[in-house]
Amino acid sequence: MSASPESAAQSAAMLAESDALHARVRRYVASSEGDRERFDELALAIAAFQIEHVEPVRRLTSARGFDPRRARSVAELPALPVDAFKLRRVAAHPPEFDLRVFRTSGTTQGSERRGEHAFRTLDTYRAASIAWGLEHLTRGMRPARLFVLAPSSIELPDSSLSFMIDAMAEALGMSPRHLVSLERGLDFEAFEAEAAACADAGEPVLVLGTSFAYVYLLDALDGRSRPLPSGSRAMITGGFKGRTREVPEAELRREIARALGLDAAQLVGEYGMTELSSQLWEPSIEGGAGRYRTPAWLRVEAVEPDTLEPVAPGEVGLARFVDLANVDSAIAVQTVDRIRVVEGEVELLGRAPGAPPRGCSLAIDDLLRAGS
Amino acid sequence: MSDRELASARVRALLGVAAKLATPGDPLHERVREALMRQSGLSPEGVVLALTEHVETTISDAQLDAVLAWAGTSPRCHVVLAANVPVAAVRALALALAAAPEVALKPSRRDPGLTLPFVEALRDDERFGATGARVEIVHELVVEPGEQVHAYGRDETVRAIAASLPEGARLRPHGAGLSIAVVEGDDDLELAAAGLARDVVAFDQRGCLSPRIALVAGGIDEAERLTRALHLELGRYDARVPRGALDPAAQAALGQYASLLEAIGRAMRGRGHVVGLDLAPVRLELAPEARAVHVASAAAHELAPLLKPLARWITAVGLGRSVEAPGPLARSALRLLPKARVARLGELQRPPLDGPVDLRGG
Repeated sequence: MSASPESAAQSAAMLAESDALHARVRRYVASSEGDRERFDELALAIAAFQIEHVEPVRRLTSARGFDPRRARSVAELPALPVDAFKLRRVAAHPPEFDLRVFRTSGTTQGSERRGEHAFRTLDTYRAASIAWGLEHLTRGMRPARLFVLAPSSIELPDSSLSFMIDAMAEALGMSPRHLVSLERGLDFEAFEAEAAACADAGEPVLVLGTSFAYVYLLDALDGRSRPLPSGSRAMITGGFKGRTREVPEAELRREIARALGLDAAQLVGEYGMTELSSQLWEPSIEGGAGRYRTPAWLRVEAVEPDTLEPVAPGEVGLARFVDLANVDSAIAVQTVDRIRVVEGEVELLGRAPGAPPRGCSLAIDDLLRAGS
Repeated sequence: MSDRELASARVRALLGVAAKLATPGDPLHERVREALMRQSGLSPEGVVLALTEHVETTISDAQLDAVLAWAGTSPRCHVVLAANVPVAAVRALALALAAAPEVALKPSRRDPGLTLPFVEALRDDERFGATGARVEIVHELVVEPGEQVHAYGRDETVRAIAASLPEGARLRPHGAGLSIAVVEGDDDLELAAAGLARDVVAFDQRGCLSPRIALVAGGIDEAERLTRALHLELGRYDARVPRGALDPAAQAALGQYASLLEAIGRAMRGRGHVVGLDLAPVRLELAPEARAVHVASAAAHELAPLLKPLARWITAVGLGRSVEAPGPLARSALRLLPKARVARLGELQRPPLDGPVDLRGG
C-alpha cells in the first residue's frame, strides 16, 4: 500500500528538517569555539523536532509540561531514561529509513532486553566521533599500524563501537587489523606475529580494544610481555558485562601497560554508549588520566538520583547527557551511571546500585543478574 | 498422643498465641506493635494492618492435614527468617512445628522485632508448653543429618545455606519472588483495583505475595481504566495507611521507573505510590517494591513471551474474579505458572494456612 500524498509530504518535511538539523550539528562539530552557534539554541531546535516526531520524547515532555518554545535552556528538557531504548523505538523516522541500528550488547540483561538506536544517516555520528576521538588518541602520533581487539563493523554491524573504530581507521587512512572475531575470538597467533613485525620495524602501533578483549589478550600472554614500539598507544573502552573474568580497572590498566610496554600517558580511555552519538575521552596524552572530557557538542551533568535535579558542583550524581549529535532520537538521555564532574571533566564511578533488597521480595537487581 | 496428634497440637497451640498477637489490646500485640513501629519501616497504620489482618490465627482440619503432609517429620527443624514481612515468622514457625518438636529459629540481622516477643509468648503459653515443643532463638545454624532447614530470603542467602548443610539434612527453600495480578477485560475493574490495592498496601509490597505487575486483557481502554482505578484506590490508602519512609535508593528507583513509564506510556504518581501503564509492552518492567504497580495490556495468545522471563520468580497470581472461573488471560497465565498460588485479588496476602506461601520449591 503506498503512502497518501499527505503523509508522503509530511515525511518529506520531517526528513528535510532532520537533514537541516544534521547539517547544523556537523557545522557545530567542525567549527571552532568562536564560530559556533549557541549550544542551547541548537539543542532546543533539535528538542522541538524530536517532540514532534519521536514518540517517547513527546510523551515524556508532555507528561512534564515541557514546551521548547518557552524553555530558555536545554537543561529544562526532561531526559529520556536510557531504558526507553530497550522498550520503544526512539527515532523520528520509520524503520524503512534505517541505514543502521546499533544495539546494546545485551549481555547484562538477556538478549530480549537489548536497546536499539536507529540511524538514518551516519554522517553526523562519524563526524562527531572522529573529531573528538582522534584529538585524544592520535594527536602528535603517526601510527604505522592499527590493531583492533574487537570485531569489524562488517562482522558486527550493530556495534556502535566497531563502527566508531572503523570510522576512525578510515579517517586515518589505515586498514585496521581486526584481531578479534565473533567466530574465533582473539587470534593470539596473529597478534604475536603482528606485534613482532612492528617491533622489528620500530614503527608505532595503535591498539584499540575493549576491556574484556584485553583480558583475553593478557590471559593468552600468561604473564609474558610483548612490548610495542616506542610511541605506540592503546585505547581501552567498555566494561565486562559477563563476557569474561572481571578485573578491576586500575589492575587491568597496570597489566596492559606492563604487557605492552606502555606508560599511563599511552593508555587512553574512551566512554561511549549505544544510546549516544558522541563519546567522552580521557586526556591521557596530556597527563590527565582518570577523568574524561566531553566535546563541545556533548554536555554531561550529574543529577540527584531521586529528583533528577543537578547536584552541587563536585558531588556524585547520575549522568545526564545532552548530545547534539543525537538528532533523530533523543538529545537528552538519563543514565543510571554515577559520575562526578570536576572542573569540566567527568569521573566515571560505575552503575548506581539498585534499591536495597528486601528479603524474599524479588529485587530488580536480582532479575538483572539472573539475565546475565 | 500419636506423633501426628502432637504435631497438630503444636500447630494449634501456636495459632492460639498468634491470635493474641493479632488482637489489639493484648500485651503481646502491643509489645510487638511498638517494636515494629520502631524497626519495621512500615508506618504505624501499616503495622496495625499487618498485625490485625495478616497474621494466621486459624486453621481448618483440611488445611492442617495439608500442612502435616507438606511438613513430614524431623527430630529438629531449623528456620532461617527474612526480615521483610514482619509477621511471616508465624507461618514459618507453624510449618516448622508441624515437622518437628524442636525448632531452632534464626532471625534476620534486620529482624523488625516480632520474633523475640513471639517466641517468649510461646514459651509462656500453657497450651503450647503442654505439647512438649521447644523453640529456641539461635544466631548460628548447627544442623545435623536428618534435620530440616526452612530457609526464607534472597536466592543467594538460600544458596549459601544449601552449600553449608551436612549430607542428609533437608533444605526447604523459599527464595525471592513476586506476584502478579491478572484481570480480564470484562471483570469489574473497580473491584479488581480495590483488591489489588489491598494486596499492594500490605507490608508496603515487600513480600513475595505482593503484586508488582498487573496484566489486563481487553485492550488499552481496559488497561487505562484499571490504572486510573488503582491510582484512586492507592491514593485512598496513602491517607489511611501511609507507606513507610523510603530510603534514598528506593526513592531514586521509583523516580526513574516513573520517568521511564512517562516516556513509554503513563505514570500516575500519588503521595505514596506510582502506577505505571505500558500501552504496548514488549517486556514486563519490574517496578520497585515501594507501592508501585506496572500495568500492561496483554492478550492470552501473546502472554508467553511477556511472562516467561519472569515466570520462575512468580509466587502467586491474583485474579480479578473468582478463582473457580478463571478467564482466558488467567488460564493462559496459569498454564505458564503451574506452581503459583492463585487467589482472588484482595486475598493474595492472606493465603490459607495449608503449607508455605511459596509453592515453587521445597
